[in-house]
Amino acid sequence: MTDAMGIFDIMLALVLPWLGWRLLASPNLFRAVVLFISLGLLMSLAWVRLHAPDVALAEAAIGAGLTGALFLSALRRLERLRDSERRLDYAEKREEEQNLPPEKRRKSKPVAYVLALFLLSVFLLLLGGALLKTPVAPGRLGPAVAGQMGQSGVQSRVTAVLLNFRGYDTLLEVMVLFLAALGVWSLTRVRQTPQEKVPGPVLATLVRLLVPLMITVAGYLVWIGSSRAGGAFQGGAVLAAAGVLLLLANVTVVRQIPSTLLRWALVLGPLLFLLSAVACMSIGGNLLEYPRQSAGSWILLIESATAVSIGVTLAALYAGGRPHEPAAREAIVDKSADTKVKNGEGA
Amino acid sequence: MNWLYSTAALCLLSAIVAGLLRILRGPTAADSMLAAQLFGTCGVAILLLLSKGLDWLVLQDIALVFALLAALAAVAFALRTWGGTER
Amino acid sequence: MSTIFLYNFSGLALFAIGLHGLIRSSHLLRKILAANLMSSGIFLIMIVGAYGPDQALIDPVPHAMVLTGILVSISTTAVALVLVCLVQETTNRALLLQKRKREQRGRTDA
Repeated sequence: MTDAMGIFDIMLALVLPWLGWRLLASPNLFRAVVLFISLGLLMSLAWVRLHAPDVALAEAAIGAGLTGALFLSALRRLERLRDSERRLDYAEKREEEQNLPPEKRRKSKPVAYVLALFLLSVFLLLLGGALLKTPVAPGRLGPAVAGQMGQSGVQSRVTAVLLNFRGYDTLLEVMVLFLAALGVWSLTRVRQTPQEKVPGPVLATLVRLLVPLMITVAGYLVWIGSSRAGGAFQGGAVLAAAGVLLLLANVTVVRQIPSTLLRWALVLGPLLFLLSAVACMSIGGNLLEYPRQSAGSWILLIESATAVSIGVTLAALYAGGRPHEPAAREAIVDKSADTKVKNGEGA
Repeated sequence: MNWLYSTAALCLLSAIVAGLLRILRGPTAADSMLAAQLFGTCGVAILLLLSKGLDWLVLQDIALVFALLAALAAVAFALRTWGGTER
Repeated sequence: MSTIFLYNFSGLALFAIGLHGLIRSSHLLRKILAANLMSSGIFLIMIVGAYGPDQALIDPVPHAMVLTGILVSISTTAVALVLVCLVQETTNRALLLQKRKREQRGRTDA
């Protein structure tokens, strides 16, 4: 019995780096992205084997689902931006050869490369040595966390660490997500999708079936997060998946969401988190030191708001630009007009 | 853990590894993507087997999320990539 | 127990492959993939460090850190992808500009 799982572990641990190697070595970018999606899936299995169900949940939602959609769409956008029409396969290889003359391409600088390789292997040997020397003391902080669980307000230890003991980290992390959305919005606008492109019957049915289910599961994950694996991050990621699906299907409702509402949804989580952090101080504790009796409710409130914001943020990151203002929507039709507008703003 | 469950999980992992070769070889983009979809299914099966074998209910949640989100990459592929090659 | 620590080396290898790819590959999208591989390797090493044979002995703090890390890595990936699209839009290629700059400098020198 243990043997089969041992072989399972060995196989998984060997396949992961092999997959990484193949995905970077593959000449076809699309194939590399598909391999990357598979890598996310296998990573998720590895997290399960390492007894990290929270991480496995997040990886299942983000690594295997969202990242794949993100890369595939970016790849598509790169393809579309390219001058001539080419087949997807080997397009990149051809482009590299075309853009750079052969004597420039693979311009051999063997000394530099060998030196880099040498330094890399020395660095890795040191790193591996450090790993081997690290004393194996299982559960260094585990008992400490377990001892304080009584006053955390939740039963899940990871949630307790995330939102109570080290709430400060999570607050900053939510801010990082918000900053990322801000960065994307300040860089580009959403590319206008053609209006006439309506989802086909299969896609429409899929959206109608999956989106409510995803939203329900997202709510479930946030709720269950207080007692076992789950929480704001995982719930938010699943919510973002619902948003991405709606964006992909080009549903009219999504296009008509007023951008003010979108902005408030983006800010909701970080704002509420920050306000409650300050509120804790005004009650008499330290920053993010919830009152002991109601800590559970505080955490649930913050988690719900954060999950909504994370969902909207990730979906906005997927959309890859700030939404069009209703007035500007008609003015911007094609890419050239889009760049013109951007240049005008830059000047 | 029951040997039946662990052996079945091992077989499914081998199926994934075999599918990786299909991704690497696959003549068209759709072959690669379908192989990746197969991984999603295999992953769900492995998680459910482990959940049963280890008596660990959380894994069912992960399997649920897996099953929900595997469709996302497929939809993104069908709309954004496959539609593109048929221009 | 010892097979679990095999994942340590798996993580180290992923990190190494990612680092190598980051230096070696020219296409920006592949560089992003490589950076993601590096972060996966680091997460793996951190989680193995938190592993314990018993549920109660598992250290939840690295788990929380890795969770945060996954979210941060997807947000940075998204920003990077938008930047790559912009690079391609302005220069017509998704490569770093170093080589072209050198060409231009050579021309002005001549």
